[in-house]
Amino acid sequence: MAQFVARTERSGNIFSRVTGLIRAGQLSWSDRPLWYDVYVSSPPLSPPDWNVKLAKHGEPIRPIFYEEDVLRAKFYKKYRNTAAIQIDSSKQSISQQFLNEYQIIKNENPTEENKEEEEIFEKTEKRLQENGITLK
Amino acid sequence: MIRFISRRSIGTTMQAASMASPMSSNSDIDSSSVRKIGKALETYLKHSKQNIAMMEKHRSEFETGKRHLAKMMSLDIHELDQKAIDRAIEYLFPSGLTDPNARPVMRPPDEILPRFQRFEFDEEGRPEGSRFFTLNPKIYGLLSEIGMKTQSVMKFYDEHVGSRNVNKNDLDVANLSGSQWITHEKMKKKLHEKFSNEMYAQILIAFENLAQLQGSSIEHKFLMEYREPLTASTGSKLFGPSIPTVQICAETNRRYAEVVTHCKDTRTTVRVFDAGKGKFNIDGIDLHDFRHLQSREILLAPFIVSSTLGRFDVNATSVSISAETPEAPNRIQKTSIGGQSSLPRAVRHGTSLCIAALNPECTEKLRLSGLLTLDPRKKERSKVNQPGARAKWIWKRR
Amino acid sequence: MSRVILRNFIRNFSSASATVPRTATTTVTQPDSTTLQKATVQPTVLKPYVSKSLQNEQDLFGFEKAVHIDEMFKARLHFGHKIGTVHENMKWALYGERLGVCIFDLETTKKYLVRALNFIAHVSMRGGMILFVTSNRDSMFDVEKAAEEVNQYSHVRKWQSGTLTNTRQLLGASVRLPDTIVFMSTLTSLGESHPAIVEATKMAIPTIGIVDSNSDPAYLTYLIPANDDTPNSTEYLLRLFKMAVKKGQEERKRQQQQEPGK
Repeated sequence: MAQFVARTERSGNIFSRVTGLIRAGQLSWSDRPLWYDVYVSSPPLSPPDWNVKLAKHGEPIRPIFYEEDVLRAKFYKKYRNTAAIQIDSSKQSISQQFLNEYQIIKNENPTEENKEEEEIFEKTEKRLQENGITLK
Repeated sequence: MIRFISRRSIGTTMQAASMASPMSSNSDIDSSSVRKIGKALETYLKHSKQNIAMMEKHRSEFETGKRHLAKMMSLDIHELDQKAIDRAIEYLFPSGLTDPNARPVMRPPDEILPRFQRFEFDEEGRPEGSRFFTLNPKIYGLLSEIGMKTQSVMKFYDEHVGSRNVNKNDLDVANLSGSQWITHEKMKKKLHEKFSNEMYAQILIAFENLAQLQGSSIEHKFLMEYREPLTASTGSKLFGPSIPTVQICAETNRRYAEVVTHCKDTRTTVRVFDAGKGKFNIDGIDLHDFRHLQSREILLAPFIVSSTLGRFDVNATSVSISAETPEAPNRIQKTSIGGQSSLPRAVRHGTSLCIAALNPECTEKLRLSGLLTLDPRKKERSKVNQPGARAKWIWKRR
Repeated sequence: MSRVILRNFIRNFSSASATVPRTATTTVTQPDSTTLQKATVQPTVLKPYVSKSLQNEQDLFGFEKAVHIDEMFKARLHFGHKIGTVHENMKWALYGERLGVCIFDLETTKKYLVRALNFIAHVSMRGGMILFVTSNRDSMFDVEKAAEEVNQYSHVRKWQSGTLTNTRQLLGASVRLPDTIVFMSTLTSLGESHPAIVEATKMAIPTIGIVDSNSDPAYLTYLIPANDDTPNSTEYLLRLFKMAVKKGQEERKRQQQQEPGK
């Protein structure tokens, strides 16, 4: 019976099943469902089949790392007890302020190439302490 | 009830014509009003029509049945209201079944036959109620309401605890003493929806959770809607007429209470007035005009028990119950009412109820003495082949 | 030749009865068999046969402009679950993983979200019923409230098996089923796929689902790869869905008022 075949969800996605019924004459064009027209005009970006292996199936997920992460790791290793980060506030977190200061100091003396990271690190710390931000 | 689909003329079966194009014209809409209804709605309408036809048939059958019954009971068709029908059926089909719902009944089909309409939907077939597809919309609606109130109470408490601009009573736990959660059956009736025992248990858990929260007294009104007094189920309800409400007589400005009771075949209307001298007026007869001492003792009993002798005045009128019913075989009015004790007993019952209304402190005493309970005994009918109800002819062994 | 009408299959109203009154002038005929065959692979082939030149208008409701990536970021739509729980078929939507947490690519999310909102708006413009489903206990009241506000349906409780496929037995009569089901969260509280997804596919009801990184995107017609757990993200998405439904309903009213006026 066509009705049972039409109900099986794995025989095809809903659009192909309904279109198949219309093609076979089991469903008249005027009786097509409400969503049919909308689907036709803007179909989903990937057809809703169940047994499809979508893109990147089986591939490892790429880790997101930025260049500043090295600095962040160093900062947090030294200063464990920083205040909790408030996501919604517009104020920047202490680690972010530290990084900004680091960048400023790095760009202050572009000629000197042999600046050690440690030196810049310590300079940034001093700068922040001068500005009144306590690092614990 | 289902609001029928408006026969609004809708366009043709062809889908292709565009709405916004200037070519579209409405002239053909009215002519080719083919309303394509979904198959679901079609079958529903078919069943609905069948049901309507069936109900009509039953109603006409009921009407003819009423006419037959009137003829049988030799009554006028206009005298035959529902109460008369009930009495007639009880007479024609005496039933020994204990459950009143099991006894034969003759009522209009709308009251007896199960209703067809299970849910409502609007013109386009959209069911009513946003929780329709949960299959138990009202129950889940109640649960959601409780859940949302729980959240709001917790929020209210967290925001206002320790603050000065809040009524201290609002921060307490709701006081629900003296009441209990309404039963499963009552909740079903209240919500007009059936649900399982597990669901009922869920609801109680949700209610209990809300009730024990700090600050739940702000939702006291909502909680009390689903609570009944503790005494309701224990059955301190009186058997027979309940204690009447006190009224004030317009002319003399005295408090009085009135009640209609019966005993055996005598129905009385008893009126007891406050601020009286202890006068009796029962069908025009004074206390001391009652011949038998027993009758006088019966009439005075409630005053003795409640120690209110001489405080109240009693007026009573009586009728014979069996003479009142229109289908009484002999329509001759009985002049004398009752016998030696039935009239005094009826008046005594009425008086006790009225005293309990006017003087609530002695209600318990009267109840314990049994004066507030109606005596339901009636004269037993005499059977064939016997001289009376129980008496048998003289039995000879040989 | 007699056509067999499938009573059990198509439960919802056909397009002819829904929405705004159709006009009588027929400019295009029905599609033929070969077109339909092509359509199963490429649906847009059927566009000329489909009603209304409004369909040809891209983005009638302007959702492309209504959805902003920074707003989605603030609503924390990009947070997924940990990589240990990631579903193989959801890796396409991820930007990557940051310290073990899957992060969605918001560009992709925006694309899919706009499509889904457009679908909802058009369906509600044609008078469709939309059912909002979730099993998330924290957001269930918000979803119910949102559905009530836009006059649609919601189901946030335990799903009774057969609600869509067996209405006659469960409800006593056949009902008009929803034309779309929107899943605010495709997993149940047990961590399994919501049974309504399969039921909807069986009844040919298109589904829109917010798939998190641990959910299975199978059977869903329109996916939205986004975060479904935090209250912020649910609030944001409900706001967008409500807007879409309202826009569709308003457009419908406007067109209905236009018709008798002509």
